[in-house]
Amino acid sequence: MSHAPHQTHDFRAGIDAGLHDTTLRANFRRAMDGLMTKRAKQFEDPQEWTRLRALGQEIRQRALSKLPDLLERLEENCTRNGIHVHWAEDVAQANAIILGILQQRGITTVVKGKSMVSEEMHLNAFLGGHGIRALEADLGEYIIQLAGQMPCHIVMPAIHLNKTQIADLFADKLGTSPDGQDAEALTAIAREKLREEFRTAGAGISGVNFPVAETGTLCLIENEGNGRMVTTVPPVHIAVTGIEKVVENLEDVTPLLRLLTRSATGQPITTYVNMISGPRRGADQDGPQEVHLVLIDFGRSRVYADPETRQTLQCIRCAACMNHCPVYVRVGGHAYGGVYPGPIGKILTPQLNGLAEYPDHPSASSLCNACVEVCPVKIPIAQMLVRLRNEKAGKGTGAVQDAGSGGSLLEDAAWKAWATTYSSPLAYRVASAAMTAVGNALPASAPLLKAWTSVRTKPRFAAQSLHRTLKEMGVADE
Amino acid sequence: MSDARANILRRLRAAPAGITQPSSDWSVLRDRNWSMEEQIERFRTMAESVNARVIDCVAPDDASRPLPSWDAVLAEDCAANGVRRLAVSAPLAAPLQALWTGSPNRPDIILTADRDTLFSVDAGLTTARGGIAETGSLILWPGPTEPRMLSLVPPRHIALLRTSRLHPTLWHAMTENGWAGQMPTNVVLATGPSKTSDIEQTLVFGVHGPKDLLILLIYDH
Repeated sequence: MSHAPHQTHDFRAGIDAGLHDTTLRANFRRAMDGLMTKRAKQFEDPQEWTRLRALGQEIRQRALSKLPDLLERLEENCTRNGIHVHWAEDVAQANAIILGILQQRGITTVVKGKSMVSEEMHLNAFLGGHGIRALEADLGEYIIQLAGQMPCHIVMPAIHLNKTQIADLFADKLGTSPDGQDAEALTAIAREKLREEFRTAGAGISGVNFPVAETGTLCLIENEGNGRMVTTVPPVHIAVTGIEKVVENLEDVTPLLRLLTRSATGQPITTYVNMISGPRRGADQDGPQEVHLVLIDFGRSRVYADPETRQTLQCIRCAACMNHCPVYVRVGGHAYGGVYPGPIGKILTPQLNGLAEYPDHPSASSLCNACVEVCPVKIPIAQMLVRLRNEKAGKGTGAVQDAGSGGSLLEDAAWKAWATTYSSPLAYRVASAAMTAVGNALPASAPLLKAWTSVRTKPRFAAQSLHRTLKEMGVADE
Repeated sequence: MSDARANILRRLRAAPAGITQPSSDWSVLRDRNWSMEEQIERFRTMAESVNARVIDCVAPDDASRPLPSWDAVLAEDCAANGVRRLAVSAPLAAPLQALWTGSPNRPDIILTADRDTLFSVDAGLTTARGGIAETGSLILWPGPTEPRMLSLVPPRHIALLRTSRLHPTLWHAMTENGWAGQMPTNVVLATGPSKTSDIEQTLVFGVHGPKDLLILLIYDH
């Protein structure tokens, strides 16, 4: 990866900053409440929801079960359609491929549709360093690019900013008036600025929601029309996507599409569903003359190697897990540090970038299961968090990058002592009596205890155990 | 590059079998026994719910229904919205020219695939290959007679859709017409005009695509 291998992301500092930013918290609370309500309306029939997500899970697992074959088939059918297919194991390779395509054609400006993979590549900064201007065209991405930030949500990248902040940003960067700008006026400003860019850009770069092996088709969904613009108007279109995203058949797209748009934004369908099967051909009057597809690995094949962690790759990037996460809603997306925040980020980021760099991700969860309940493809996120905690402590199979990097002899000893105490009635009685006597006397600032009590109130132990109280009350068989 | 390909595929092939589910039940998508009337009503409700305008009409030579001819509706809507330059799909250019010849105040009919011209016209008129009742979506199938940009870059998009081309769902449209065997370079499902909620989740219509979508629903079933 492009990160230094042992530079640890300070999640705690991010959390602290997020929790104390009252504007951010208000912006997030409002946005997430809205998204949850809209989604719930789309899945009012529990039977339909159950059947549809079972289908979604089956389709994603079927595709993953045949992944290498499907990738070859995708490549074959894309090539037959005139799409140039490239493969990249890491960020450096992927960036070099894209730079090569642009430099060979003398292209100096590209317009971009929304793509989280291109965030993994830090593509804009990379191209900028080579004198190529990469302009984000999705409104939310455009805003955060102007602000010099990372997306804080994978579907709504600028949801942490309110319209006053955006009006000030536009005033600062674009010279428009900061006063009296509502969402409509701000959108109109962006439309006008970007229209000319679409018309004149040398290439368009997009992500892909569903690459279809059967037909060599790239499906891309969006509401604004920026996806259509970047894949239609410039002479060259470059699509980037993770290897895990491929689906087997064209018809597999229909249930996934339905699950994705309803889970993400509570829409029955997005405004546009693009199905791209090649550059202009025959007597076509327009469309790009060249289409490229860059298939990226970036650690995915390692996630794939273990049947349990492989389920992480079922993800269709709807963001429902973050919208419903009690942690994400409060700390915001930037606290997570990686490209993917929220519950899916907590399992995906440490697997892609290593547990040494993201040691706190698996623990930043109460395992409340809200994410699992709303996941449209049934990824067992909570189960995966526990697995990653074990891997970090060196108690897993070692399949995850930097497994064992977070082991602690002290923690091991504590759990061993706990197990011994709880498996002997005598030891248990002695220990609980001691807890009452010593526990209350111990100050909250005592070593070991301090880490826990720094964000929690220290509990008061009762004078005697519940076990004993019940016995005294005459409960014979508690 | 070929090394990357070989390395990735080798790693994937080395992995053990994963978890799979038994074949699922597709009836959740398939079972839509809507009559033609139900499909039309559903299409209209869903399209209008995302700010598309749907106007019922008939072909110019059809006197079997008490509905206006689509070209008359089109002329009226262009006049009402100040559309002076109308770019059109090739198969519609000649019939429209014939229908409008001699009538006053008709917009100029422009037949072009030129990018800069299309960026400057007031509206684009296209056909639709079909419609999807469940979501109120148009199936746009641009190709040799209809540039992709025609439904995208002008600020208004007007589409002709025949009721006989309505399908209950995308799955029906796709499987009943054998899309998998004949995908053109570009198929677009369009549901309403372009929109965003990226700023404070406030819904705004007209971002990068058309600000207005008028569907002329031609009764021919």
